Amino acid sequence: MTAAECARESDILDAIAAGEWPHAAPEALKAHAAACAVCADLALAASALHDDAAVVSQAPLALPSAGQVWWRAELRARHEAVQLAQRPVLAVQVVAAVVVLAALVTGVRSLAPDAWAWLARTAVVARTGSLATMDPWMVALILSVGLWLVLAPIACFMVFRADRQGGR
Amino acid sequence: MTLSHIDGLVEDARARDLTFQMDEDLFRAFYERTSRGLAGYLVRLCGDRQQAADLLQETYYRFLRSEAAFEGDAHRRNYLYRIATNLVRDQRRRPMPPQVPLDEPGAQELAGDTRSAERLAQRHDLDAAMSTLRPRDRAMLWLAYAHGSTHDEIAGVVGVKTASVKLMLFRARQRLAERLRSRHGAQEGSR
Repeated sequence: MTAAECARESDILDAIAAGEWPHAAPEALKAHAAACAVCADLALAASALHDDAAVVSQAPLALPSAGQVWWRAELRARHEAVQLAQRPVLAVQVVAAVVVLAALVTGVRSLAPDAWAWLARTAVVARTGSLATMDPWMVALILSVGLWLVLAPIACFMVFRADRQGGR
Repeated sequence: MTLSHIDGLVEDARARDLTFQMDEDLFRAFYERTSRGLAGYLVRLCGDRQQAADLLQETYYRFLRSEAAFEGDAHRRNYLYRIATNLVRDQRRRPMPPQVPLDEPGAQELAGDTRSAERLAQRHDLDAAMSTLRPRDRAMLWLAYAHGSTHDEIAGVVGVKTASVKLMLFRARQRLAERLRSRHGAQEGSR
C-alpha cells in the first residue's frame, strides 16, 4: 500500500492552521475536499486535532509549577544518589553476615560430640536448681556469656550514637 | 570504616550525581515553553489525565538526568517528546475509557452556548476515536496536526524511519477519519 497524495493537501493544512477551516475557507477548496477522499480524511482528522490542541493551549491546565517539578527532581536525584552510595555498604554487611554464619556452623559442628553431654548436665541444673552439679568453668562461662549478651548491645548503642553525632 | 566515613561517601555521591541537564533558571524557562504542549500530548496518548500528570513529571526528570548534548531548542524539545513517547509505550496499563469530567480545562467554558456545546461534543468524539487507535498512531497524528512537527521530527520522536512516516501517517489519518465519521453517523442516526 502506498500513501495516496493530493496536491491540495498543503492548502487545507494552511487553512486549518490559520483557523479558517471550514467556515472561512475558500469555497473551491471546500468543494475539492468534499470530492477528494484524501483531502476529506485530512480535513476531518487534522481540523479535529488542531481544534483540540487550541483548546488545550488556551485552557488553564492544572500543571505543576516549574519549581515543583525541579524540587521533586532534586529530591529524587538525592534519594537515588544515597541508594547508589549505600550499595557497597550493604554488600559488605551481607558478606559479614555470611562469614559469621559460616563460623557459627563450623563451631557448632566441631562441638557437636560434647554438646549432648553438656545439654544433659544443663538439664540436671535446671531440674535441681543447683549449680553444684555443674563444672565451675561451665558456670563461669555461662555467666560471662550472659553478661556479654547484656553489655554488648549497650556498648554498640553508645559507640554508634557517638559516631553519628560526630559525623554531623 | 565508620559511619562518619560512610556519610562522607554518601555526600560525595550526592554531589556527583546531582548533575542535571541544565540549571534551575534555564529549566524554568524551558518548562514554561514546553509543559503545556507536552501535557496535551500525554493526555492524548494515555487517555488518562492522572497518568499523564505522573508521566509529565517522569519525563522532565529523565530529561534533566540525561547526558545528551543538544544542538538547539528544537532538538531539546524533540528529545523531551521522545522520552514521553517511550514512557507511554512502556506503560503496561490499558488506557482508561475517555472521559471529560466537568472540571476538565475547557469543559466549563465550552458548555455555555450551542456552538460551544458542539465543540465539546467534538472533543468527546475525538477522545473516543483516538482511544481506539494504537499509541504510535495517536502520537504521530498529534505531532503532525496538533504540534505541527515535520516528518523528520516525528520519525525522531516515534523511533521510525523518516521515509516510513508518510505512509504510517496516511494510514493513521484514514483510521481516525473513519472513526470520527462513524461516530458522527451514529449520532445523526440517533437523532
